[in-house]
Amino acid sequence: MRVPRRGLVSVCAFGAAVALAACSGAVSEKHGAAPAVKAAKSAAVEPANEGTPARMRLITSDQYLNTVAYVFGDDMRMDTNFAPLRRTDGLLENGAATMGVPAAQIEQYQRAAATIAAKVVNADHRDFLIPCKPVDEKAADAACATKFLSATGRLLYRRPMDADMIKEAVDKAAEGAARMKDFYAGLALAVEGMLISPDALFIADISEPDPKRPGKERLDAYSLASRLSFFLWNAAPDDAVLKAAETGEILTPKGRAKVVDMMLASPRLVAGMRTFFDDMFGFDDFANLAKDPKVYPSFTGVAVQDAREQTLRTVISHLLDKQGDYRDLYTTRSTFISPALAALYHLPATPNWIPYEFPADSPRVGLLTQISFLAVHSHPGRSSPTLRGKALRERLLCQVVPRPPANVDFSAVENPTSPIKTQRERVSIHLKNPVCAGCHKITDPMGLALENFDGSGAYRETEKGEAIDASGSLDGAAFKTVVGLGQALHDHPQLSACLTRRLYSYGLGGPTTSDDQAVMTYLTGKFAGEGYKLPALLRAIATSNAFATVRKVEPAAKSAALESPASLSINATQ
Amino acid sequence: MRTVVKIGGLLTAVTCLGLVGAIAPTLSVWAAAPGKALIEDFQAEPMPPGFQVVNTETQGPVFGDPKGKSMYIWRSVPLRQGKVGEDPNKPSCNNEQIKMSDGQYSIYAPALLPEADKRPTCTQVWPPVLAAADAKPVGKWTIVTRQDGAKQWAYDNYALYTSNLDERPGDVNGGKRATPPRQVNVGEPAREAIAPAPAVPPGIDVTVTATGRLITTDKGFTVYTYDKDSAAKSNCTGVCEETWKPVIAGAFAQPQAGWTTIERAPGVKQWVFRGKPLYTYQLDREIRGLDGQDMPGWRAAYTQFSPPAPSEFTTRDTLAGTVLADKNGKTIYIYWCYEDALDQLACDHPNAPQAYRIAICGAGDADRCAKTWPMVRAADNAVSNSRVWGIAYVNAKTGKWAKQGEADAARVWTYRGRPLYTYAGEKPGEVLGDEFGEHDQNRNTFKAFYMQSLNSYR
Amino acid sequence: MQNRFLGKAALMSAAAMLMGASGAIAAPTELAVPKGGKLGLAVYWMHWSIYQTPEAKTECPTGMNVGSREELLMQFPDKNKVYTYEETALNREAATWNPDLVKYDLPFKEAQGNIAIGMNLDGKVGPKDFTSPDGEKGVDNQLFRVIGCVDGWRGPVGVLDQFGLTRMYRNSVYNRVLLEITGIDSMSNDDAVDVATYRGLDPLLTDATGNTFMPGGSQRIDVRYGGKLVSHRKGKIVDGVLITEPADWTFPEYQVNTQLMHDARFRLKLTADGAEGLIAGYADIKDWHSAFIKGWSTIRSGQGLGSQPSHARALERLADAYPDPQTGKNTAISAALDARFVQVFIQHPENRVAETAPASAAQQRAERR
Repeated sequence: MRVPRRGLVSVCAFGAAVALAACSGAVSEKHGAAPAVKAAKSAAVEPANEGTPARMRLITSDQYLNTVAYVFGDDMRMDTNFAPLRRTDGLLENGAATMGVPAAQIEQYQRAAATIAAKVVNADHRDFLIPCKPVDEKAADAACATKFLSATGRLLYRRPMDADMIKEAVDKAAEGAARMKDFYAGLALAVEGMLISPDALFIADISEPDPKRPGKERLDAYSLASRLSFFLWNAAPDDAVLKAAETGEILTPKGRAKVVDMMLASPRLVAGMRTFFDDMFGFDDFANLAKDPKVYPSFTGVAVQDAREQTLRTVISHLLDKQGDYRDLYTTRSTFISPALAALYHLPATPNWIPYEFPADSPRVGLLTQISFLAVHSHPGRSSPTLRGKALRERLLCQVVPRPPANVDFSAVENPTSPIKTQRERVSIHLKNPVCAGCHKITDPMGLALENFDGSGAYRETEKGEAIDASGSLDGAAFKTVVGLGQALHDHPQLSACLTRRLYSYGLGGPTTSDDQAVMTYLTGKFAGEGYKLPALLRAIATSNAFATVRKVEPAAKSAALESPASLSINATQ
Repeated sequence: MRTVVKIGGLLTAVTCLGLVGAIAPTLSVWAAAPGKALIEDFQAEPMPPGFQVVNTETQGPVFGDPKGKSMYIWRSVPLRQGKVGEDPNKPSCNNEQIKMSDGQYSIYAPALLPEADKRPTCTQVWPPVLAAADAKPVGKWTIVTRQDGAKQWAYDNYALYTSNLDERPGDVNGGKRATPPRQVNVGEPAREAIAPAPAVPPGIDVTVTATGRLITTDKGFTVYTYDKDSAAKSNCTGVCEETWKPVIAGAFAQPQAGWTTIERAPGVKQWVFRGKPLYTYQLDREIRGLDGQDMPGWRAAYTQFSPPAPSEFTTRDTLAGTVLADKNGKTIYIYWCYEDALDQLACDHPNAPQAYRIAICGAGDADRCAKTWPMVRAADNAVSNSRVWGIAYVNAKTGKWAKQGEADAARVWTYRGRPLYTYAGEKPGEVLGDEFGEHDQNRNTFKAFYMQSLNSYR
Repeated sequence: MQNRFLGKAALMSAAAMLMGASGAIAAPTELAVPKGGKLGLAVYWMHWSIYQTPEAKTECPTGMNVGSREELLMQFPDKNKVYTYEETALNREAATWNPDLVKYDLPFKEAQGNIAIGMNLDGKVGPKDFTSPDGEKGVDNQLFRVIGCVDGWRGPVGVLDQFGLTRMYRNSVYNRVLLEITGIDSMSNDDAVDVATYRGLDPLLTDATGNTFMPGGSQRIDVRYGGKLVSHRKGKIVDGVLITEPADWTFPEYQVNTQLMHDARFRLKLTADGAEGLIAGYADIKDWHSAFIKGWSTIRSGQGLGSQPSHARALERLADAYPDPQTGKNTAISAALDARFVQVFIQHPENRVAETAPASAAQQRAERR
């Protein structure tokens, strides 16, 4: 559950006797502390792993639309948002496996499906999308319907349709064609049915016995193809990947590596990684972002969008285009600027996005000093060291900061006539009160280093006339300025381990457990050994044994909402 | 000349094209046209017997009646004080002679129209496309009943008419101006020719511009090609893609006549039209922008080009864009006019009353008009190579058709059957005469002939 | 050329008046010299200056002017008579578009009084001159007499005023009026700076509400089509106010129109966000009339109570400068503009096109008649 924004900077009531069990001054982690990983040390062999439970996760709206756009064309994209996912263990994607599908959602899927299907067969589209023509446009045509629907189903269901499925679809098309005296109308009904079928909407991990490990299971070829595609491209597998599944090539280590390399070389990797980092950085918060226009008049709607885009562009450029070191994202001065952002950074601009390098003496170093991070983790009218520190811990180091106690008195913070000038003074009260200090010690010292940036991300030297002091520390590493904070984060042993953990759970479709720790340590070691290059980590994860391994789970563990997928199938012929 | 510029660490590419008002060496926009006129593909649809699709010089393929004549509808349009036009299935153009103005567009109270006694009826100017008694509806073609009981064909529920200005199949001289503006603030009360949909892939559209039928995205942004590309290969990759975004095709994209795909990367297909991969220009600020053409090697994509203007004409850069100019470099103007009556008949061609134009150009004095807004003369040996650019004899003073040798008869260039003009009150490279006319330039107005205008209301 | 520049005291009070009703100015704090000594400014608000008193009692003692609707009723009062379209509509349009050929003698109320906003353009104090609201004598602004009693031109909500220049600045994608001051050593006192004008291509930066224009945006200069709008002049900064020499200036008006202002002088208070002040000169009346009639059809100017033929007559009557060498009639009218600018970063292309120097005023006049 989200911590409420207002009043998060907490001033704990003096004398409140609430024990914060989890806040002992040390960093807490839900799933056990990760041991520090030194760069040179890496396990040479992947540790054995039981794999993930076979999951069934709901396709996200982006994945759905990416897939539909890939198959039928970009003009199929629409503004459709399916159920918002629940952030679990740091990622929205982790919530996909635990979603049920309420009835209202079914209606949304159906509407999207109906629109897409109607478009595919309309006069503007049909010649360019359907590879055959019916003998008679006013009647059914099994041959053409079979050709089209089997090709469509293969891409939408992410595996070839068997004879029964094809027959069912073709019969549906024929029935519709006969009733409406229109081949294309019948075809649209069948396509609509496919788009809303559980086979399309749910990404299921289907397993088969693993010949290399008798008694154990592995993902079947198509499930592996899906898992790879959703991981790297945030979309269903395309024709080439499915072919590798069909031939079984994807199941061999060499074959899988070849597919992975092909996917890493594709421009579609960009879409995949943008979605991942958007998730990891918690940029869904942008949807709720509102700044007080009186305090931050330059922070317009365009600036909000562009701030998010700037960070994603920086990440993609650094990690994929330049094949840079992941840790350098927090110390780099290279980024991109748009006209709306240029105004916030007080820079001249030309239209469109252009690469930009902040000068060597600029305080803008790394993602922490980009407007996205600074503005999202602030209040509508002021900055927030605590929110920023918390975000750093949770998003970038995979640590958990407990919530404030329910009876915190925020009045001192909210007082507009307070004589306290700077945030540093204000939050110093946390650190003096032992009840508060336990948690605030792990957030505020980093957030305070960012105080030269106000709630909109703009730079400032003073706050209410008082010069800002940006010194702080991060787990023992002390610094005087925000440049030092970036370096401390760069050097933090948890930084790379956290990325590994997030990517691992993102790729495998669910939260990690302590059983995964050994593999993740191994992967982080590989990551370090390859210079912290993202493609190397992606490759290591995607080609690992763990990625394709599934462990059997007793049937009773399935959630009630997913019990009968059949109940989700809609009779589209109303 | 293309120059890459560094400004304080930022990179900008700018093309410097010379002084304002400089004469371009040739009509460069048309110099790029291929030697042969290309025919545009259209989506076939069922038509009543005898009806056909006819290619036109500027509008692409349109529907033609059994004689091949263009057919028009008149969707109702709200004007300032009321609406004009027809509602679906309700033809209102009839054989009644309307003599009074209606004031839908203006503050002027109804008054007796110029040459009221001679004024044609609506159906004399716009003959209805009548349907035989046993005619049957086909596809989008239906049959409606007129006020006088006769049966008339309709398309998409709007009654169909032909124009008395069209002589041959392929003429589209009636109705709307040839190149619609990108934006409209008040509706243009004009009929429009009906046409089949273009046969273009999903996400693509075609629209009429001064140079020809421009290919755009379905959102209206201009599509470009790159001279260095071939049918099999795109040479715009990497950084180039930041400025030129490939037009991507879906996995199921089926090649059709003229349309193919190339695979930029496994699974990533790009549309190719007539052997040239397609892109949009990230710096185009508005729909149908042509800024990308300033970049060497890049050109806007067309399905077909309009016939080039007479070879003696040129183009000029002005304060408001690039205009067509006469051999002396003077901006060329067209004139258009709709009478503010319920039938909104055109008053901008030599058949129609000239009082409107003469009021604007000469305060009612035809001699003065001939001096202030002279028609563009065609030399005795000039020859027109198309129908849309014609040569005719017009009385230079009255503006009506004339015969060679008559007093005041002038041999002039025409566009869509109407004379062209220049403005005596300006120098070459100026557009002081643009927008010269009534009612926010939506009727009774002289308008510069823009090849590329800065303002989207042109 | 001392008489071209106003005295300091007059400047300061003018600045005070412009800054707001309270009249109180905070002690000017020294503004930092911008990087490279260059300051870019873009117009975001510009209105023909009208001295307004409550309910217009001083300047329009007999009330406001009527517009086209009322004039038509005056001309064609008989509701039962059938007039011809030529007599009514086409005649009015002819008067609108050819005011030298068709003249109306309908009553027109010129603004009265002897106070007007503006500058002393000719260095003299003549019988037709005004005194500025803060006491400066010899102010030349005959345009005030033309538009002062037309409701639509008066602020703050005059229809012609609101939707003309102001809306253009908000909505137009290509008609920015840019000023670039270079050679700045001090934002308070600098006896030599250069001032150039350009047309800009980019939208203005607005705040989160969309209603306020913000400093810090960028503007590319239109080198391809905007050469005619480039001009240069010298100036100086005195106590934080930019004062320029007079020089011809052409600025974009609504859509395709441009307005030539002879001997245009800028007098702008430099602020943290930009500048504001007065621009004054002799506005070419043909340009002025053309922008009015092209920007506003008869029906819409009627809504703002501005009759275009009557404006044309008034302009002709009150024009006070630049006589046509052939006819002897004045072609320009003294005028002033209230203007507000927001700071922008101006982007020059590296290889600057040889900017067409605007033809001399005499040459322009000769060629246009």
